[in-house]
Amino acid sequence: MKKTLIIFSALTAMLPQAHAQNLDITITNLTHGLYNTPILVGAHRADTHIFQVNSAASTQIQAMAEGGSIDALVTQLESIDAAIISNPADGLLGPGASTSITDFDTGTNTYLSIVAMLLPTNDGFIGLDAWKIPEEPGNYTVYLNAYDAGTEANNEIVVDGSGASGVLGIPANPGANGGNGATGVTTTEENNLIHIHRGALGDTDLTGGVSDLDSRIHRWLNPVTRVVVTVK
Amino acid sequence: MKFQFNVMLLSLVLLTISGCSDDDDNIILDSPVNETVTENESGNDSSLLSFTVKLDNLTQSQPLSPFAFVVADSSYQAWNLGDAASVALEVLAEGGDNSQLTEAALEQGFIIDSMEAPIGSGQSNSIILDISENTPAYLTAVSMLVNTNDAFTGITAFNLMNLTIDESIRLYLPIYDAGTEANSELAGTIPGPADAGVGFDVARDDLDRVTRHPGIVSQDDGHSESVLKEYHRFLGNAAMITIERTQ
Repeated sequence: MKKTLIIFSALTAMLPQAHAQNLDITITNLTHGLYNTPILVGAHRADTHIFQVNSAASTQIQAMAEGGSIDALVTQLESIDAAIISNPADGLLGPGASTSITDFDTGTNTYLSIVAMLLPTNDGFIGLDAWKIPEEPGNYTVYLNAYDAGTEANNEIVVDGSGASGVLGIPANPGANGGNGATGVTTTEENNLIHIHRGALGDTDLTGGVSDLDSRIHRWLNPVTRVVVTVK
Repeated sequence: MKFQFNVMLLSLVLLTISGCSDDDDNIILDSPVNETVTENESGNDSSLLSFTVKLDNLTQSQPLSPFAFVVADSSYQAWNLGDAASVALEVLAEGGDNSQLTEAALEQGFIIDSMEAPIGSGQSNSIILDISENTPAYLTAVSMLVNTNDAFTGITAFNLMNLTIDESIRLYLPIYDAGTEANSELAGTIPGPADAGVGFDVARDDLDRVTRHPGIVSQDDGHSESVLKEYHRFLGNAAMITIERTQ
């Protein structure tokens, strides 16, 4: 055990990227009509991913993407000694709104991941997967896509309590600017892995139609989020 | 010097195989026949560069036709935004057939390869590209979104030499419109499983310029004559390419 520890320390001393880094991060919701649920920012080691495209979503990612809960992801990141900023916007981050993090000490962690659910969607989320934090001081801008967790059919019906895994529906429409009484867009999904979200369909019928989303309000194009990382 | 000569002979043999066979996936393709094999100062076999190229289909329901690969010099562009598509690109973008594009590149002395099969949504596939040192190494990878009229995705003129050994890069691939066929979405015009219609048609009845793709409409979004459904829609990027230099 002692020998292992010594070797680890020696390696740590040799690797330049293992220096502690101090970051400022500003996250901006670029969409015109969507909200981010509590955002999770984690700095971790190179061999860690909280999500990967074309892979099945973990139960932790599913809980975030379907219901906005990041508790299980925080626990997962804590277990691997990640540096964590949980819920920097203190709740929802609305269309066009920003939140800033200052003096984020990543310790020896050199990769950054960010996730948050997009509302109103069934299982859409913003995601940054293991982005290597530059060593050179400066401002770095990264744009994020909207992903589909692939865990729930995008039926686009707002249903109270549907944030729980296994309950079909959009848990909430924070803007209160959609419809109700929809019959549903689809009940199946061809791609059950994490992929780029195809977008919301919506419709213009606020008391019926196939979707509770308003196609004039709840549409988006990528990118949906801007992240500015300042390496100090 | 004898070693280098053997490498050159090997190149000729492999290129002959690839030129005659449809089954050339993963065949090691070496420098083009007209490339001068240069002296390897270190005297070992470090003159071979190797890249693993992985493609992930990140769409909901758009199979990607077999990817074509070209390793060329910096002058080669499989497309230029704002310019008319070549006939070879039109054939690929309207029907998923990459043979004209790869044959044309081979005739220009460039290294080519092709995947054997389409990549379905949520699927991925990899190839290995081996290239002689000092060969210009600008990568093109291109594929059709088959449930469209003429959408394609890819990358062209990406300089592989920017990568050091064991370095890898992930890039999202944008979706382009070949501009050679109107985006009618009508029955009979789309070659993929959504329609099983006609692929390549010699007529050009669209902009005749390559642009970013505006997206599809689908019958669920008000285009009642469209054969496409809401799940065929896409936003911005269709795939992720991961290029890793292993040698």
